[in-house]
Amino acid sequence: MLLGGGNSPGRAIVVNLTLAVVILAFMAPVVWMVTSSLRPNEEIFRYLSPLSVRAILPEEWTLENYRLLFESAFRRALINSLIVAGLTVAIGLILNAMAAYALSVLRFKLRELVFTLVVISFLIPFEGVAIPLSFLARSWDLQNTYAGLVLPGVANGLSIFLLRQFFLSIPVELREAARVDGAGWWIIFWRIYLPLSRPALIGSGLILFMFQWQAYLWPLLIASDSSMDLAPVALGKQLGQFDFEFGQMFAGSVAVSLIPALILFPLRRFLEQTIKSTGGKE
Amino acid sequence: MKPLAKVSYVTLVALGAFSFAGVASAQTVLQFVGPEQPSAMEPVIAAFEAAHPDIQVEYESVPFNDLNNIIQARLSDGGTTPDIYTADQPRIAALVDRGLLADLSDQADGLGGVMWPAAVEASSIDGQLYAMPISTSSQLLYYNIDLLEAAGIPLPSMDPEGRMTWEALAEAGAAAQAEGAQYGVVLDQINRYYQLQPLMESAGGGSGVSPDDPLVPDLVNDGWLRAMTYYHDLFDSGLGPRGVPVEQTPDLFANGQTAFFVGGPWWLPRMTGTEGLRFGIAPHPYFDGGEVVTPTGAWSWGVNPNSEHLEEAVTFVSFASTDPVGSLETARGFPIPPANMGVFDTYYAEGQEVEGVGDLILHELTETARIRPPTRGYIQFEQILGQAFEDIRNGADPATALEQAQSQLERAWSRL
Amino acid sequence: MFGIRRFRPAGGQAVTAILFLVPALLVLVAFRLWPAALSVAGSFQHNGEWVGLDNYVFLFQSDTAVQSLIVTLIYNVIINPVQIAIAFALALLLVDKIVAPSVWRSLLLIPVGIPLAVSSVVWGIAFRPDDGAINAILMALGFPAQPWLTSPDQALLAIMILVSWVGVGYWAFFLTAGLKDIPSSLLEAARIDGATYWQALRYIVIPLMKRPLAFVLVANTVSNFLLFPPIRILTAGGPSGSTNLIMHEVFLNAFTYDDQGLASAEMVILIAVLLLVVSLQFRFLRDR
Repeated sequence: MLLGGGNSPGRAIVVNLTLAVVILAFMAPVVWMVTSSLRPNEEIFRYLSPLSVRAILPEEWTLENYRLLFESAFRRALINSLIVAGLTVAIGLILNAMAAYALSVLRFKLRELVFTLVVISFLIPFEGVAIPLSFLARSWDLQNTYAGLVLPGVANGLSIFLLRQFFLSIPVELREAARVDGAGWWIIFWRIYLPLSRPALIGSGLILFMFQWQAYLWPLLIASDSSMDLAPVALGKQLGQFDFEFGQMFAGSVAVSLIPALILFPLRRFLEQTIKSTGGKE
Repeated sequence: MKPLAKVSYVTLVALGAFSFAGVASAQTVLQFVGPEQPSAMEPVIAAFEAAHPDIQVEYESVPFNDLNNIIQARLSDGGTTPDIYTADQPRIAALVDRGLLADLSDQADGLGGVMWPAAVEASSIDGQLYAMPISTSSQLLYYNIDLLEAAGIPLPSMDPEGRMTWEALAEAGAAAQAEGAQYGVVLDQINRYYQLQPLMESAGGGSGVSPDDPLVPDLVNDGWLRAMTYYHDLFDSGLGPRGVPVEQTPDLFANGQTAFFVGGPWWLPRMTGTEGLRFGIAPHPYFDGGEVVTPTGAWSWGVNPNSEHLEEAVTFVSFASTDPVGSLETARGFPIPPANMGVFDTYYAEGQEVEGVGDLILHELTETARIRPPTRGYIQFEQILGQAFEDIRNGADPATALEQAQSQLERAWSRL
Repeated sequence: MFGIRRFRPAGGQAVTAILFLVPALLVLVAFRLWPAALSVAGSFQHNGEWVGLDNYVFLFQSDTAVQSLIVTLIYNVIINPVQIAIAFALALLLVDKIVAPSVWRSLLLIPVGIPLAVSSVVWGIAFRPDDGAINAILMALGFPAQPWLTSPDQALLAIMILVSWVGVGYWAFFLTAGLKDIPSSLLEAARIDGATYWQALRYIVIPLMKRPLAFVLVANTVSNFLLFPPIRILTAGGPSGSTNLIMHEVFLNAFTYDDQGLASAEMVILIAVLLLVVSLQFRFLRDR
């Protein structure tokens, strides 16, 4: 995509250079975290000042932090996080897309009211209702279950909102043509709206994924069995009372933060897709 | 870790079978929540299970900073688990007030000669025992030999009679700083009441809680002002660091940047294990002309009053606290001194990192230790003071900050 | 699949809509709206007793609570436009003619994948006034060292830098998707007509980005109003209350003090403010 101006090679160099500088600045804390995870714990705070290349260049390179971490309960916790986030995305996308479809395509009396409720639902701070909710969840026997971890993240007002915004931009003519051909609402949803919405579904999935990927307080309240721990909780336990395992904490964060980026990378071709390229209105 | 995960899975299944099918199980499973790493708890749990084959203890380690949140969320609606949990001693009054600790007074007999009196006092409310004392604590003065020698400062003595004053400490710290030390004086829990209470007490300002009423704050007096002015100047002069949180202070000493570090004995293994660090230990300082006061207090283990296995849970905490075998196994997992005096010598004979430290801690626990005030408003007290300390550390005027804290605390306590 | 076809005749859309909405709404009610309703009821109670508006009165008489509301508003008035501007600029860069766009887009998502507690610790270390990396860089460039988190004047700014670092790559991701939907033929035509970059941006791109921008604006505002972990870890609301966001107060009262009545009242106020802000945003984006 190109806005105004010419298509000169000079412009391309400027754009790429700008981006490179921005990304470099952005990645600096990550680089520090990565190198800190690759050095012995004692070294982490030794080279803060004066600033030298030693700050990001370990004297002694070691994978010990990673070895210790992946031999600990963290490995199990990372798998749990993947399971919980994966289930949340799989179930949540269908639920939220259905709701968004009703709120953008179907016409019914209380539509505005329902949409308002959806908006209110994402204004409610989850941590603020976590205590009453944990009492409720225990009365529903959800403690120490995947259901207890997954369900609070499944329906997400923001994800509904995002999909609704996208569905609204899909030309009305498409569904009218399908109606004329005799297609039902479910068919239109499943065969037309969902396939056209891959970028929005990926965005929506990202919202659902991140909610669970960052989940910390709720898993602590609802999962007392440490075999149900999620990754951020397992990392939180590295900051103990008398021992602060910064190296392992950073190693874990490196692993945890790479996963969403790695999952999205193979999906990149779907992100290139636009309404136009999938047969939408030109 | 893997076998442990397996074990807990098996016990979970066993627990499920027990509760859902109603099949009588031979095993009672106790759920235990605490901030220690699981490895710290393994010795005592193994010893207990060997002595009580029909009871199993399942330990859940939770992040230190979230312990209190978790206890509250799980217990305050009458939840039956965990059966046992680690109770921060100054919070016991509040926990009792909310009905979250079972009365253990029938276990109190015979604690007299066995436990440090301060540990029993810190676990009791109105003479009733609500948790079994497990550990205790004290603070030491660590000094960096190289930095002191470079500045020509005589090394402090370990003898409590030759204890340094805070004033002398600041002076020596400044001298060391002039000769290359990055920091003169660093405090371990740099902005927490636990660490700073002895300053106020030594300056004659009292604990901050009125002796007549545990819900009346007493922060605005000369002693507090003297102590807080000292604390303010410590950072204003650059002797100590701003912007470094509690978790990162030990590194400043371990890295050899700091002349004096007032810190817990739990850092001894870390410091002795640091290559190239030559350090010594001296007694905790006091204010010139003031009383000698050292911090103390640590953990007790309490029982959930709604536990379905109350009796077994009490058996466990008693075993861990008072049983000669049990308490030694408990102590083995902990880097801080046991509350059980009988175990103390064995504990320090086994793991003495620095010659004479055991005797010094013994002296402090007997002569100078002062527990934190037993008020059911301790949580608000600690939080609001923590913010006031941090403000003073960052340069706020001590008198103003203390007045603000006093009025904030009055308001907060009016809610109780 | 749902037998929806049968409801096709006119007037049947309500029933269809219910079937499409029920699964999500059921979960939303159970896990958000119902507990929130309990909290609203709880805001009129203290220690289990009904106290009417006492909790609210207490809050509005409390300097701490009033200050936290003001801090929250200041924080949001600044951070939301700034974050969106940066995210939008990033998104524009990402859809420009660049080498390996997917790689950059993935890299920008790394900060949001780091547990917030850990990124707070990392930035806390970088902000250390004596030996932090940021001051080291400033001094290398000839600027004086700054107190950052230890100063009542700069702590909120430091928090904004940290939060923006976490968030802008994430929000840029959503804006990129929107930019890609702009027909290139429109931009092509503008270029032929001799439009400059800024003209194309102002008259073609921004008007067509209204929907994605609406989403990012609302979502970003909500997440900033509800933020608290960095506060809890780095400043506990200080120095001198300068970073005491209202959500941190809610957390403190709910979890640390176990004062559910006060926590609920603060949460109700927070949601009310947020509802007002968000509905203004909706209106603004609709009318233009």
